[in-house]
Amino acid sequence: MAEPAAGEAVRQVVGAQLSDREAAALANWYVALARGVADFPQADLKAVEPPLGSTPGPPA
Amino acid sequence: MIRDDVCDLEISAVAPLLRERRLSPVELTDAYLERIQRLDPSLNSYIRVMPDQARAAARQAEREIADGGWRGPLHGVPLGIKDLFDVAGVPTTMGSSILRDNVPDLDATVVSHLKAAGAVILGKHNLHEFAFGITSENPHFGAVHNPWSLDRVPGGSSGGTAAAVAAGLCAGGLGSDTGASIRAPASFCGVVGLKPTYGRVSRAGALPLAWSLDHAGPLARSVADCAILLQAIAGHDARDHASAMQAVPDFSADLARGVAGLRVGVPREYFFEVVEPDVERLVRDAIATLEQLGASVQEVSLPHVSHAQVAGNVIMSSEAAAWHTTWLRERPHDYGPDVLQRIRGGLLVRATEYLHSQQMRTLIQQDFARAFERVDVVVGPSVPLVAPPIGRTLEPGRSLNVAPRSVANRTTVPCNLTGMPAISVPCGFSDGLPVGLQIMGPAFAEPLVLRVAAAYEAATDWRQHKPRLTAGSTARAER
Repeated sequence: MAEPAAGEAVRQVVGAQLSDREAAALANWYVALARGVADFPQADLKAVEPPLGSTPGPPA
Repeated sequence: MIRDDVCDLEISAVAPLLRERRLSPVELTDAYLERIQRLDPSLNSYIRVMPDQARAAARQAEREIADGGWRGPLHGVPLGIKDLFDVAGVPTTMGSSILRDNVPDLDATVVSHLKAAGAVILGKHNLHEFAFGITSENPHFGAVHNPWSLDRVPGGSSGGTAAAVAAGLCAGGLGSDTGASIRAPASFCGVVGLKPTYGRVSRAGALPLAWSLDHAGPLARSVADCAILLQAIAGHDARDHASAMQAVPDFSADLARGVAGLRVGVPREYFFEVVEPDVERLVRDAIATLEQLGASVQEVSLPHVSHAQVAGNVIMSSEAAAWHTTWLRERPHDYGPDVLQRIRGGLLVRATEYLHSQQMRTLIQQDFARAFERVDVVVGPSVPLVAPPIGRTLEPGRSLNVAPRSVANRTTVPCNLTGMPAISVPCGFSDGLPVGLQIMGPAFAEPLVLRVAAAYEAATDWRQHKPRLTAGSTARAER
């Protein structure tokens, strides 16, 4: 369960009047997701780029 | 009045009848409209039925065919459209209250393609609000019910489309898939659903959920019908930034070639780790059937795919939050609670987590690329479970001790990350509820994916099973 301080941080980021329960639910959802990302082998991440690229604009 | 059972005919069967004028598009359309009026109160698969427009299109098709102007296998065929694709002059709600009065001036590119092919648009299908969920329990337009068991969800987000196709309330339909939204409802409702390669089908005029994961594609009662629908909607479109400059092959050409000599990969990791025993049994039986048909089966390793759900959920929620930012701040009370929570969650995701998830995506793409050096297709369950009960999708199921909502996109989202084509084809029943086999192929290999699915479908009789619906009663299966 997320700490009350986490709930306050969630309110600030989301920018909405959230009940303690709503804020805690969001914080818990985010923490689980963030842990999932953090659990990924970091050495593997170093080996690749994200599939993002710069698309050339119109010719000069 | 012609008999109601013309609504059970597949597109590939009805097209020659229409072409040879043994069946009238107007009578066929009227049969569908009557069936919708009689049965849809039990299913709630349509947000909007368009009888006047449908009859006008049917009359036009009838005139054109009589004059020798048959346009192809969709001419005069009644279809339904998920209500996130624009049909000019008709509201596109995306299953939301916020967009209840959103009336576009232009057709979505896919809708204009279907109209150009002579299809009759019966109406707009119900869906999970903003296409962000797998249950189609819509708080604004009501829950969609699964025709195989009315107390069950049809899957989502294209739940209305899958339910309508399964129940014979349209001959085929158009859905979208960001994490599971064509394949999960196809699996839950016992129909065929194809998520094409990213960029194969234009999304212009379709409201987005997550730009880098969104795909448009067909749902139908057979593999051949999916091929017909894909033929009509595929191709480059300058209106869609992600549209691919890729030649469009004949998607029906290889359907009868069989699978002899093809190599089928079965993932060693992930796909069978969290799955209902009956679903695993039926999918493994289907793999054995492919082997009996002459395919060779071998295990493949996808070492990073176990992180697909995390990566998919990070990317999906972040991109959705970016699109919804203004409404999240100004109109939060107009969202249903589950969708509001999921989109708000995207506001919390950090840029580094989004980028790490995109890197995971690269690694998962590389895993599949290596697998496709050894095999032609990869197969597994479409969804790890059968359709759960309405209102109980956050509770652990009967034989799988996890909440259905937490695993419903588990085996589908890898192909949204990689952009690969994937199809769900019925492969049996567990306690009367349909199960889907997922067939995944390399980018732009839809003809191959369709070929394998068609070979499996032809070797089994699952598509002969139909849900039997009567007005005001519960659904039950019959052959």
